Amino acid sequence: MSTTAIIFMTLAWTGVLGLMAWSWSRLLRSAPPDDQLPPPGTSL
Amino acid sequence: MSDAAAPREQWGSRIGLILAMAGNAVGLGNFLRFPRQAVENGGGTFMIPYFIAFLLVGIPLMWIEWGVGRHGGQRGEGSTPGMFETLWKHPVAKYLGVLGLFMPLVVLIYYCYIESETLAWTFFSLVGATQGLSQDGMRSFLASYQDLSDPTVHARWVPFAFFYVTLAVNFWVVSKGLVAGIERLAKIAMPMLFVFAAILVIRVLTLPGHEVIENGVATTYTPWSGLNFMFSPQWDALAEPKVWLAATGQIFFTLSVGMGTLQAYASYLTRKDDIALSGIATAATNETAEVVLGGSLAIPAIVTFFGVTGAVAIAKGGSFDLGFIAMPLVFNQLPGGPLITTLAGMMWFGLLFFAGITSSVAMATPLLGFIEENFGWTRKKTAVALGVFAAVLGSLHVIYNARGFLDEWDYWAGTFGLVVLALVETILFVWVFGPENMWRELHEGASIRIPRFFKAVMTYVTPVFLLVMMVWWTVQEAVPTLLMEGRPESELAVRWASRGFMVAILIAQLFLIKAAWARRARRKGAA
Repeated sequence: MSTTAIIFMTLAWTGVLGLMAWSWSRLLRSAPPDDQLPPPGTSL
Repeated sequence: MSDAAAPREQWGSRIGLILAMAGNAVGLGNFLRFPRQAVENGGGTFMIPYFIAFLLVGIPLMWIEWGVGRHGGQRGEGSTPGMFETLWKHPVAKYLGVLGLFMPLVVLIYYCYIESETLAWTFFSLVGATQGLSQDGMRSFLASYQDLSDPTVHARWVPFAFFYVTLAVNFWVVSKGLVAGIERLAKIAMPMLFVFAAILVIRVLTLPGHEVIENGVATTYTPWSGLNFMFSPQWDALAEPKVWLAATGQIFFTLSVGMGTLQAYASYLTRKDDIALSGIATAATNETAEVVLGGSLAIPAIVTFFGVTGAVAIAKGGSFDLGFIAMPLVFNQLPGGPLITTLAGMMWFGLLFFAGITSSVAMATPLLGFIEENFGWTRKKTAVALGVFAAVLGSLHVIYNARGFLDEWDYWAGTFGLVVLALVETILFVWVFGPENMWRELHEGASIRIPRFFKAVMTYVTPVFLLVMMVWWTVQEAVPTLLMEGRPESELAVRWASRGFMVAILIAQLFLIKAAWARRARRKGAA
């Protein structure tokens, strides 16, 4: 692969994966109680 | 406000909501249309206008549609006629909202036909029907399925059978309701789609090099040659307006904005639910499916086995050539024998089917909601009635697909109409409702603060972008398409009939809105 193609691909992938990781992590942290996993050791 | 007696349903969980929203956005276009657009519009350079359009049109429209939907839903409105009236107290507003009923219904009908082909090819992959076929054989296999006048490979009942099964599954899901139907489907189908796509991407990117003869010269191609081909910038493409419009158009289609479906889903949110962060998460999930997974599948695989010249020729043939001819040919050549070919084919068409069905159930939601809320029908009764209607009209697509019946619906409702609805709702939500009210609405229950920069973007840049796009498309495409320039004489009658059906649906829906509001007035008078 050419250097410019690698740069373009890396930027594009980093951009969308980064945005997804950031938004989902924020989402899971701020999720209402029914979406959150129970504390470890909780009997289901 | 609608006169539905029962309280409106709500999403069961936030994760389920985001997966359903992302499922609505992730469609066949992520895996078939995006790579073709990138290849045809400057490769890596395409990514520049693509991400600019994502920032200036995609994300803002996502928020606008979530905002319009939740604002309407809070007032008992599950579809755009009522939602628009809550934004603009004018008798015309509800009739403008017909676009949000018309587009999803029209697109739903033909989309289910395309979706049924992915189901059919999943089955054909399972039974090995496409194994051992040459490129011409694969083309005949597809042509016979899509053209009923050519029953050389498939009996005439075959496409009907897959279409009716697809419709039945779709309407069975929506008849179950929001949580038990749509949300449950999204929670199963979306993870499976990502798993199938990830497995295929790993397989494609680890393929060994393959020697291809081009113009008498043997060249060894690898999947990385495909990625190189897709992401290598052609700088002069940036100066072409058509590249910018293609990129904006792709953002439009991929996020499923301008359709009326996001608004319908968002109408089931409560005031304390976040829409700012959820809108970004939905868009980002869709972009990952498109850029990372969709971009690493078809083109790298096809370049490996057909070379760059072959891939360009296939891409020019359209999305069906890419997905239904070239990809099965690639699977036939995978190391590992018939079992691997079968598994790869099932995963490829299976993921396309999941991408399709999570979008088509969303398209059924606006009209279902409208009829339920305004005419007091149960969800099951509405789903059955709509399913029968879709089966009858969809049969015309099965019969006349090869003569342009579907193309007309795809252009007027599935392409041009989206920009019209997006422009109308942007003007109503941002300008008529007011920028301050819009901003406040977006921040109700928000988990994040939207950067203030976006307020200016949504107020000025997004509407101008949409207006330019609409004018450009009207001049460049809509007028020649309307005049049927370059269409063969043999297709004209079918294409006009196809338009006639669309106009009839539009008029019928306008009368439905009139009847619904008359009913509301009567109930208000009686109360």
